[in-house]
Amino acid sequence: MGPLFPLGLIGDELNMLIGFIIGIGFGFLLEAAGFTNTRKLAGVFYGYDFVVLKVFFSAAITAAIGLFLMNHYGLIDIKATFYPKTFWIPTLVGGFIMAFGFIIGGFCPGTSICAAVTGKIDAMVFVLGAIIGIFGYAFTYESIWEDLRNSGAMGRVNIAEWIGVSDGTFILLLTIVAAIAFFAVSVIQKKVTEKNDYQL
Amino acid sequence: MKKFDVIYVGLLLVGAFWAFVINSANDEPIDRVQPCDLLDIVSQTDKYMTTDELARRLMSDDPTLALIDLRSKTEYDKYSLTGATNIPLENVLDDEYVDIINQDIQTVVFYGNSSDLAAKAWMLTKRLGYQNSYILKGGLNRWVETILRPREPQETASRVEFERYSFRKAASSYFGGGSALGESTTTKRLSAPIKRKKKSAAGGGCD
Repeated sequence: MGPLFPLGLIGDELNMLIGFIIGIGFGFLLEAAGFTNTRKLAGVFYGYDFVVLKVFFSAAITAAIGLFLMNHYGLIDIKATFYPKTFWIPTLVGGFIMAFGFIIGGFCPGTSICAAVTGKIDAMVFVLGAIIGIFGYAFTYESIWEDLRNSGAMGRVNIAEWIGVSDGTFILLLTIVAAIAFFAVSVIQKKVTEKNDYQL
Repeated sequence: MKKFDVIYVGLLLVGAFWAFVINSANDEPIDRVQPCDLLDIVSQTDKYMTTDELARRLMSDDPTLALIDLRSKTEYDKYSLTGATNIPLENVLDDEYVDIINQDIQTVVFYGNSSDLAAKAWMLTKRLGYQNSYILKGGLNRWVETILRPREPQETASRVEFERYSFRKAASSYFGGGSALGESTTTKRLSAPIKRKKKSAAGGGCD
């Protein structure tokens, strides 16, 4: 719960409690939005349902605009928030693994847990696989992945700084790109669903 | 696209445009001191360092003292305090001096002929959020008056005043006061202190 927790404004217990409540809300909304349905997630790759893309894109932009404006008007200190260092090579590798997991399994880590709780057997298998993966990676963390993990280090960067534009400009550009993408995918979706009869 | 989608994307665009406008219209860093906070800072009373206090610290060779002479180069060459760095007021914000003025290890003391220049410099640095800066109260004029040429108090004065006088007399001979005025004392160059990296606050994620 940044920035409250790292600054020591709330204790461990309250931090856990807030996390728990947000977690329940998150899970509830995932289920309510139909994200526990594998076809919804896989739809992005087949072109008949772009809800996932829209959700992620609009969530990122909403957060970016909100943080920027709140920081500007003194409601939040952006320096108190946290983001990790960037290592682009392992990030790229991880991105590919995640993408294949999306297409093959039809879940992302969060939705798989939600779906498993609603009783979907494929989701339970997915969660089991994820746990095996977690343990596998953890036990080989130092022996196998040392080089890959530290390759392509870029330090703590954000994209706007990296390409050399101001934060406000970058947010505007990203939002325009998103708006165009939303329009484009809605056209694609219409065409694909007219041609094939997909059932969600 | 559904109607809701269009409205939401429209809202996002408005927000992004807003962010863009305030970002390009206002290049001031957000962490700069706000006017209401500045009022509090300006009205605080511990912004001055007295000449006695300064003399005491100079005599004990206090390494945590960073004296900044805000007058012009010619005035500085004529006379300056021990170990003072000459940064004329118009150069106070230059990049080469920022490490000396903006720091929290040494105590930065500004002085000019009176408190006037120092107060301006102090105000500027406070506006930028710098810590640890002080104004030499009364400036060099007060310094000469009190430290270099102290006046003997009247016989009826209190003991405290006599003690202060004897301290000032000692200081006066230490700094070569009285007739020695005008002779520049040795100047050791001020260097910016080595910055130690502050421990960063505990991160939220895995790092």
